[in-house]
Amino acid sequence: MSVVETRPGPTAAHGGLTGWLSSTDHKRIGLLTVGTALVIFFLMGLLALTMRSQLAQPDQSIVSSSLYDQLFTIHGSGMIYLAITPFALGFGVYLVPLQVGAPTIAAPRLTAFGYWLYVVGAVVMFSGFGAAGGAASDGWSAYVPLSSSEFTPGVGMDVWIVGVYMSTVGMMAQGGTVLWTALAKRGQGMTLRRMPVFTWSMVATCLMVLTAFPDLLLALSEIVVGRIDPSVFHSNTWVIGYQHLFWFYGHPVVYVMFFPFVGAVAEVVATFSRRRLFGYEGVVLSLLLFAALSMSVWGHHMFTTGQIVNDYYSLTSFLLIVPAGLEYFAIIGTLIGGRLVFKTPLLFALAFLVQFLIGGLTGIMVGTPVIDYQVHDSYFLIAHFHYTLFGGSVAGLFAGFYYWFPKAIGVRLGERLGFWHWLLYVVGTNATFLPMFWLGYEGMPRRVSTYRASDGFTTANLISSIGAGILAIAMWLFLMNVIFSLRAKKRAGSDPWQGQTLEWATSSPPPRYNFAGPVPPVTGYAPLFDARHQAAWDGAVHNDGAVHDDGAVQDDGAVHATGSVGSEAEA
Amino acid sequence: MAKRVKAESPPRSTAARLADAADQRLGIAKAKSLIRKAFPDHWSFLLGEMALYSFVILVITGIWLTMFFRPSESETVYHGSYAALDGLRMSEAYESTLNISFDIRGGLLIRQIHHWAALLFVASICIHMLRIFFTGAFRKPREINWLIGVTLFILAIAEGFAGYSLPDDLLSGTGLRTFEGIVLSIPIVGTYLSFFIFGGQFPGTIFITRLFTAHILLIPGLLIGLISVHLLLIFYQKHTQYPAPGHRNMNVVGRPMIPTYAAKSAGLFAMTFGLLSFFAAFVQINPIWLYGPYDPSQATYGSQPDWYLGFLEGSLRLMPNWTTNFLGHTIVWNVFLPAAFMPLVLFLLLYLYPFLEQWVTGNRKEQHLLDRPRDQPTRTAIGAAGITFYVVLTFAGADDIHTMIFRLSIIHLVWALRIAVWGLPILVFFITRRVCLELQRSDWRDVLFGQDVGVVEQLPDGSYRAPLAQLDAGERYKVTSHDDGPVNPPTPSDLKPRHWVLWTVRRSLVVWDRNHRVRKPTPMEYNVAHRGLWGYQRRHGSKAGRAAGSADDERREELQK
Repeated sequence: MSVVETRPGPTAAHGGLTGWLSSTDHKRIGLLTVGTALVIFFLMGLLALTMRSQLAQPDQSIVSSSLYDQLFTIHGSGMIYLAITPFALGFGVYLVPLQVGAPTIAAPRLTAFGYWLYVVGAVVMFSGFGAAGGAASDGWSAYVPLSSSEFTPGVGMDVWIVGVYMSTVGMMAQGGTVLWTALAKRGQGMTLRRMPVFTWSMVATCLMVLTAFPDLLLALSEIVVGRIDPSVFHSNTWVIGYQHLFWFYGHPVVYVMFFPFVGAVAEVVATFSRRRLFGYEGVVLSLLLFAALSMSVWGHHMFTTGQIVNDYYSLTSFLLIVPAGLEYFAIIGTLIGGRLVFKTPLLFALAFLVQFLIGGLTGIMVGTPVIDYQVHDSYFLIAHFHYTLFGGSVAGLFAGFYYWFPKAIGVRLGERLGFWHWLLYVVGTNATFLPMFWLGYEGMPRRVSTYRASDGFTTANLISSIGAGILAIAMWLFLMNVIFSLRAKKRAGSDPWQGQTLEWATSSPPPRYNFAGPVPPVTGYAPLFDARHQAAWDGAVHNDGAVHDDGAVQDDGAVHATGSVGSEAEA
Repeated sequence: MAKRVKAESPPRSTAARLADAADQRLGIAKAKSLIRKAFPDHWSFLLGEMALYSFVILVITGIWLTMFFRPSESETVYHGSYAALDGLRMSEAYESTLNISFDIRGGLLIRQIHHWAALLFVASICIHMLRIFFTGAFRKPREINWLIGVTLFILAIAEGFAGYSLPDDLLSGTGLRTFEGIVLSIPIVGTYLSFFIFGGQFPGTIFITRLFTAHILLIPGLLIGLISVHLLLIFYQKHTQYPAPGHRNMNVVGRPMIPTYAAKSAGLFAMTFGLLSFFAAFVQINPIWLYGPYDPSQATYGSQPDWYLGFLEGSLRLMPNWTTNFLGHTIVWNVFLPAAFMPLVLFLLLYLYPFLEQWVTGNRKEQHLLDRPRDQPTRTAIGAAGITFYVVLTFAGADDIHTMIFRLSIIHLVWALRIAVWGLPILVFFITRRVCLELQRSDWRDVLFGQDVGVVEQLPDGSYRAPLAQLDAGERYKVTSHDDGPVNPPTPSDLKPRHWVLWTVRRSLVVWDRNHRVRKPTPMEYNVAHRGLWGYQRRHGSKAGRAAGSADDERREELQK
């Protein structure tokens, strides 16, 4: 056979410090990005825990109000700029080349450069805690004139700007290479209409990264100039102009932190329903429509400024229901009629569906100006976007993480710990964020470091803080699960879940150039699923002349370390 | 080979006759071998030359400056063209420096070239020395030249310090005061020594004159003498060379001195001079008129020495406030340890390094081929740790500036640096050694299996392949020609039993060093690898290689089913 000819030899990149830090292998850059994002995710979670401890009871002073300002600023900016966005793009860097059957990512050095910019930016931003005045303390959105040198003096804010700038440029570099790979580096037979839905979600994501992120750089530049001399700007340009610039970035970035995880959930649901994704083309179209619409809704963050045509932005925001609904129907349609295998990834995907729905529906509420006037800048808003980001995106993140971990590392994460992680995560998320809707409706403003007992916020805050404690335990279990699994010896094999897309056709972890043998023929958007069914069909016909559709399709959820489909087809 | 010219030969051209005349009196034809002397070619061999040319420029500009500088502490009243200081009392030294800067044509330019050249002089010595260190050019037979080099380094620092102290401005006076404090801190003899140096109480009236003599006569004399020996030894022992095909321990491969190397070197001189002139013309340095004349009762915030003394300043600033009273005498550890003892130890270690390394490795062979730093992981790691130590101290020397710019708390910064000055070198040591070992391993793989050059091919069946490029002979030689580990690991019989402590230390160092080396590929391995003996790389290759191999096994088993 041709085995000897195609042996990969030691083309696998070197291990060790130099091997990792100088790598241009998209899998390593992706793992570095995801790993760094995960570390920052945990650190920012610790900041949130501190804040919840402070708010657990009225009139506490665990942290000073000045430190509290720094905590919520760095928690928000760390999570958005340095944790979830890089996690989303890191997923894309790792998976998109594999999913489209490419041996490498386009412009690997640019991708690596993006990672290094991101890391350095993170270090620079966090170094603000060492400055005399502390880190930035004006919120992740850095509204002017609050972020001007008059109201937020100090080096902490300066390094915050530099850090955000660097990591954003880094993410643009990674977004560009992922998009380039998906559009121009696809393997044989991988037409656009056969691209896996996760890759499509990355395409939509990267389109937003490339169109919206430069705008953040502009907004930051405005702060820089204004911090030196605010009189440069007309006052309305300085204050409202900044908000326009910021939210033209700020709304799409929410979808940057959401789409890849929707894509992951769609892949997980399809795999664990043992059927193709229902309504594939509708999902792809709705992703693109979603991305396009995301550029038209930024004004709904500014209803209360009185300088926005509220009706217009309310209308465009409502239009988002159409693509979002399409995606929901597709995923639910896949679940209905599927033979569900309840592994941890699917559990998280289901949590995503429910929790994101709460976030989405309350999004319709705050997208209605008349409600927004009431709940603006209150805990209602905090609850809303934590339901979308933490209840939704992070659930999708964990679904994807549990799903692709065996591909990247070669070992599956523990199911038992995974279940407890999932359970505590769901309980904790709802215990933490549901009371906040009520708090917001009762009028508790966001970004305050304490409240009085007479305000009547005590019970809900206490429940919320207990929920945060539960979340901390959940995250600790997750960390333990990762550490135990990294040490585990039991190999997962190339395709532990009966995946449907090309990344499951290569070894786990994949070789340096992704595919050691021939890439399986791409016949549709679920090539491995097709091949499995074709083989079952052929086997059924061959064996007894009758057609058994379910002949070789295991629906018991057991792990089958089957080899690559390519070799099956070849044999 | 026109060794002898016959008297009756017919008349020839003027040039030929001049050459003959010179040859008959000076024997210059014998210098032909000199003219063809081989100089190995590498950019890093020009670092020392840069130091040499900075020195030449220093001498040229220095001679010019002595014509206008008055080394005197007599007091005078300034009435020159710099109005801001008009009517101020100052020493003649300071006044003459002001005159050089403002009233003498081209004076400021020459002064600034002189100062920039001094900075470059010490900097190029440092970098040159690091090159020597990391490539192992100090090994036998060049240990003596290493000793001379370290001495030159110390002299250059002393010369620089003496030079920038001469103008008697407030900044340099503060530096002299620090120097006096360091001298005073030496137990027992400190006070006597200080009186001896300054001719009484600081600042006294004769110190500038003494410093001037040292700066223009004593130290330059020593420098010129030692530089001559330094160069002579290079000439005599011949230059080292990097490993390459045809470069052997027994030969020197390079370009002839005339025309190639001389032209190159002259070009370097012109470039050095040009660069320094550019800096002198456009970047202000040591604007003493802003500092004002020295007054012992004054000192300014943000006083920093020239860069090469920053490490001493830093170690002074990091030292905790320790003093001891001993029989009525105060021993000022907080000055003595960081500013007198630390540099002493540092330079002693620099002097001794070649001999320490020789003692540990037992390698007493002559070495004319340079090491690649990665092939000597322990040495490279020691060097990197040393650089880290020096850089942290230099950084600490400007802690007030950092505090001001970044609005940090100075207490926090000092404590962070106190930890960093010991912690970072250790960390850097281990990281560097690890990186060296990994680079060696990657060389190892490149030799045996070829180099991944990032070209991916797609075969007709749709699979991907990244053909490995075999190293060419030159690269292969470069990567494999080094000595593989200690030559003579010590045996118990090497040292007498009464030296068992030394023996144990040495033996543990040798073992430690040997455990952190990567064996280079043997010819047999090379042959095996290149004949494609199946499975070889799985036994010896990387983890990833093994994983890929086992993936292939899986495939093969499947196909056999």
